[in-house]
Amino acid sequence: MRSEGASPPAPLVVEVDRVTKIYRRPGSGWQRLGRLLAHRPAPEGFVALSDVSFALPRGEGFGVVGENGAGKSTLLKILAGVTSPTSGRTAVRGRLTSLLELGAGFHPDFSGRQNIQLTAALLGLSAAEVRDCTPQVLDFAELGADIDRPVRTYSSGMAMRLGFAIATSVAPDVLIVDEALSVGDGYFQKKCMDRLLAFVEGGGTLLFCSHAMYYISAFCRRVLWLHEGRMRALGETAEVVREYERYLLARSAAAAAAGETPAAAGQSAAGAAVPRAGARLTAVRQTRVTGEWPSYRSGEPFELEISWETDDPALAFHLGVGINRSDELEVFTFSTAWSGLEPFTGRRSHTVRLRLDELPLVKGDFILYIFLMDERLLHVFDRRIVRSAFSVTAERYEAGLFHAPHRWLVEEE
Amino acid sequence: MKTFLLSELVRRDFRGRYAGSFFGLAWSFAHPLWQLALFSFVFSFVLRIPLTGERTEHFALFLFCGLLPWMALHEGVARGATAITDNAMLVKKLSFPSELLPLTVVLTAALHLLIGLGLFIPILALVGDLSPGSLPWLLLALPLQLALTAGLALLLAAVNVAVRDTSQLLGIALQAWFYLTPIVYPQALMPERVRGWLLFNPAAALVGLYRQALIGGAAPEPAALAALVIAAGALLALGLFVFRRARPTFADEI
Repeated sequence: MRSEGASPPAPLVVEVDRVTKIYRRPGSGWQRLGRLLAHRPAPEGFVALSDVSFALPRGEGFGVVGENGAGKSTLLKILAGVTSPTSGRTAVRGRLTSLLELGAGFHPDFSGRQNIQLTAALLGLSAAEVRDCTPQVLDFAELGADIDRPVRTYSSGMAMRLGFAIATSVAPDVLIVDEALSVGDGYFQKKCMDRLLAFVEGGGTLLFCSHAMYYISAFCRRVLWLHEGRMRALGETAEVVREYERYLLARSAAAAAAGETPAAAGQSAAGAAVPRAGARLTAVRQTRVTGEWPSYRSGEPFELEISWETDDPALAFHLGVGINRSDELEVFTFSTAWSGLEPFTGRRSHTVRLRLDELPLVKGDFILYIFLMDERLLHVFDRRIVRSAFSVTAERYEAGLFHAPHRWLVEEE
Repeated sequence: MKTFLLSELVRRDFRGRYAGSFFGLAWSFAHPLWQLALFSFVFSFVLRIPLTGERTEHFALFLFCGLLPWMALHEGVARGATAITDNAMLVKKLSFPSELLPLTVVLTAALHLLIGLGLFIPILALVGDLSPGSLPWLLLALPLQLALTAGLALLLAAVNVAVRDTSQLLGIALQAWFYLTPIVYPQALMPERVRGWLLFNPAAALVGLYRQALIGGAAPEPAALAALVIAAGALLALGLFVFRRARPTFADEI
């Protein structure tokens, strides 16, 4: 840690020093017993992590990205103290809780309230601390009278809500989140996002592992990219995410060429989860043309009318619109937030129009992406993808994609 | 902080076992009483084992003095051996002192023992076989039993993670241990030439201690008592050592 000038270095909360984890191939029981007692790592094995080092100051959001099997979960498990590294050292200062498994300690026959106590105790709280944090858990989980019913009667969404509420209410210094955010319905997912953001803003240290670059970008100042157990990149979020997405794109292009399904590319798409509660898009209409398949001449006006409804007038929205060419080349993105509009709120139904006075596209078939998001652009309430949304034709043959406004300047004699 | 977690885990184990069943805690007495009835029928009514050298004429009472601590020992060791593998979900996902899992089972068994004693002692008093003056011996018997059970539970819980056969083998071993301990028969009935081997069976001295405390039976020989104390202490130390040593690998091995 460098200290610069007069400001003292921020205290390090998490330190990971040349951590390597090798999983042994399972031998016979008695061999394993021998190794268990001797603490002797087997010579051969699967290298899950190799020489990983980083350090986190208080209050930093830190993202971990990488493909499946890159070692993300292993790293988080080591930090959570669930498993130990084969070599290297980790240090965590303060209380660490992890959302590795929401509700792992629940006893199905116990009531939600009893499970709060049990889980909090497993997370290391004392009796007094449990008493103090219980109202907060109850408040966040919003289970009402169900809190006194056995957990086995809960839906999986309810159990996860309770698990998330407990893990984030015990006032951790470091919080580990491993792709656990497909929690419950849209409304609750948004609440979780807000809670995590508030946690980081309040000085908490967040370790966040996700395939959704959107969330990574929202929460994390720095990102570690793990590739086959090694550190491929570590740096500013925007930079690493860009590199990683470029890699995924190249890989999925190669996979597509080889006839495989580009699974990883799908994971990197912006909206990881698309819940349907809270608000929904009701209509997306192109108002300047009619017909089954709208068609425009290059340079004509283009207008898109988007309507949505919500049960809760207090919710605030921003809209995002993307236009891709039929081969998924991203051509335009528009956002009411980027344009500096106030979030739309205070009513149950909204209609907003997006107008381009002169469509600058030259030719081609296009796809429309409509995203209905919350006011912080963290949560996607609904989205709509209109394939073959419209086509553009030019009066004469032109190469290229756009018309750029331009002049020719000719030198006079 | 750890005691709070331990008490929560014991509560989870104890209450969880009876949750949703109509008779609840009554089941924990039904089983020993049923065993008591069967053993009394076989060994007292059919085989007519004489209570040579014992202070009571009631076979059932004599038997129960040994059966109560044995059942707690059996429950603690047998369930303790699978305490880690049964809770794989917790061990793999949460970081907490996992030695509390086998200890929880041992304490639940001890709780059953205490409830059993609480019901048995008044019955003994009613029948007139209780020797109130020797009850304080329980204060020696109970900690020794806890140490012995906890040591074995910790040791076997750790070994069972690597070698799953352990819990199966244990069933056989516990059955042998039961019949090699003077529970359904008085120690005096054992042939002289093998009686010396009882020194190596800590359960024999333990059962002797309970009989002494409850019905004023003869005190275990000093050598046997010393052997019990050493065995309990050594097993506890060994169990803790092996468990602590193996613990970091549990999450990977389960």
